[in-house]
Amino acid sequence: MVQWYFPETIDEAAALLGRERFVPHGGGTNLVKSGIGSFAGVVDLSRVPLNYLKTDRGVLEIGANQTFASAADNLSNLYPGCILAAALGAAASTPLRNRITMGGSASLFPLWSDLIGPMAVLEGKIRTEGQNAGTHDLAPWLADRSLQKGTLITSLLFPDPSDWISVYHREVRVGFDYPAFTVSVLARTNGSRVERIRVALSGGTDRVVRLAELEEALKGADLAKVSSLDIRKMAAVRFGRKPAGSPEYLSEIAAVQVERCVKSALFREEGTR
Amino acid sequence: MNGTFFINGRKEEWSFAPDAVLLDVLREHGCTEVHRGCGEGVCGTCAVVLDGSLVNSCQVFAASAREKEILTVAGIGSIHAPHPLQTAFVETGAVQCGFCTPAMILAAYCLLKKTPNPTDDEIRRALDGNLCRCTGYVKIIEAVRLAARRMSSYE
Ligand SMILES: Cc1cc2nc3c(=O)[nH]c(=O)nc-3n(C[C@H](O)[C@H](O)[C@H](O)COP(=O)(O)OP(=O)(O)OC[C@H]3O[C@@H](n4cnc5c(N)ncnc54)[C@H](O)[C@@H]3O)c2cc1C
Repeated sequence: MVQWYFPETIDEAAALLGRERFVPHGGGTNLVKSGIGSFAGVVDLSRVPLNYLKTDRGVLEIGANQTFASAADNLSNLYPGCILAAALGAAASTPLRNRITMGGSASLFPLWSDLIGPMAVLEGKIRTEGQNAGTHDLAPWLADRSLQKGTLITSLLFPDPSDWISVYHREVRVGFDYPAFTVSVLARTNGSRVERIRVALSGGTDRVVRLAELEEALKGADLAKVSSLDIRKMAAVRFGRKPAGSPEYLSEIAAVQVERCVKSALFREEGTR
Repeated sequence: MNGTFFINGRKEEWSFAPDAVLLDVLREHGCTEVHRGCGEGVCGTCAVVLDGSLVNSCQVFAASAREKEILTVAGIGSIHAPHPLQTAFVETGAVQCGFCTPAMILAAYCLLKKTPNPTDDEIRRALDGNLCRCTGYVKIIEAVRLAARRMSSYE
C-alpha cells in the first residue's frame, strides 16, 4: 500500500525521490486524476520551503510550491501587466488556480498549459535538485523526459519580465475551459521600429513553438511594413484533433490569433488580450 | 491511515485510504453539505475552504489535508443564524434546486473576505469555478451584490 512521506527540507525530499516508485506531490490536481495506486511512496512537498516568489538582480524566481493563484497575485503587484501574471491568473478556475502548482505544471506541461507559452517567450528555466540537479532550458527539458526521473523541481527562473509589452491569448469557449491553444507575444518598439519580438504558440502537436521565421521577419522592421507581412503564413502550426475543433480549423484560427496578438503588441491595440 | 482534521472549528480524528480524496472522506463522515458533482474539478460543487483558500475537495488528497482548517457551508451559518450570504441567496431567489448553492456561497464568502465591495466582474471571476445548471447566474450575482452591501454597511 502506498505510503505518504512529509519531508521538511529539499535534501530530504530529493533523497526520497531517488527511491524506486516514489512520486512528488506539491498539492496540485493532476496526480489526483492519474492516481497514486501504482506508487510505493508519495512525497508530500507542502512542508518543504518551496512556496516563495522573489526577485534578485533582475531574475524572478518562483518556488515550485507556489500555486497559480498566489503567483498571479504576487506578480500583479510586482510586475503589473506582465505576461506571466496574465497567463497564470487566467488559467482554469478560481478553486483550481488555488491548487495548481508551478512545479507540477513544469513537470507535466500539459497541452493546455497556461505556463508553457510565457515560459517559452520569457526564456524561463527550470531549477532542479536530486538526480538531475541543475538549471534546464525549456526545449531540452521537454525533449528529454528522463531528466525528470528522481528529480525535484525547486523553482522556475525568469529574466525580468517587466521590460516588455506583453500580450497573452488563450483560445477558450468559456473562461474556465482548457485552452485549445495559447499565444504569447513579447515585444519592444523603439520609435517606428520593432526592436525585439518573441512569439510562441502552444497547444499544437509540438506542444509549444517559438515562431522563429516570424520573429526574424519582424525584428528591426519598420512598423509601417508590418501590415505587408504574411503573418498568418509564418504562424502556420500543426494541430491534433481536439474537442475545440479539427486540426485544420485550429491551425487556421491559431494563425489568425497570432496575427491579432502581434498587431496588438506592436500597435498597442486593445481587444485581443 | 489516520489523520486529524479541523472541520468548521471541530477537531476530528478520521481514518481513510491513502489515496482517498477529501470529498469522499468528508461525506463519509457526515459532511453531506459538500456535494459530489463531476469528480473532475470542473463543476465546483464540492468546493470547501481549505486553510483560507477555496478548493475543489474532489481534487485534494485527504492525506494532504490533514492538520488543516476546513470550512464547509455548514460552518458559516445555520438555519437559525444564517450568514448574510445565505439570507441574500434566499431573498433574491438565487437558490433553485440548491445543488450548487453551498459551493457558490463559499466562493462568494472567500471573495467578500478579500474584496468587501466587489465589482460585477470580480463576482463573476470569483464564481468562475461553480457551475449552475438551473437558475442561470443573474440572481446569484445579485445575491452576492446584496450580501456585500449589507455586510459593508453593517461593519
Ligand atoms: C478541470 C481542470 C482544468 C484545468 N485547466 C487548466 C488550464 O486551463 N490551464 C492550465 O495551465 N492548467 C490547467 N489545469 C491543470 C493541469 O491540468 C495540471 O493539473 C497542472 O498543470 C499540473 O500541475 P499540478 O500542480 O496540478 O501537478 P500535480 O498533480 O501535483 O503533479 C503533476 C506531476 O508533477 C509532479 N510534480 C509535482 N510537483 C513537483 C516538483 N516540485 N518536482 C517534480 N515533480 C513534481 C507530480 O509527481 C506529477 O507527476 C486544469 C486541471 C483541471 C483538473
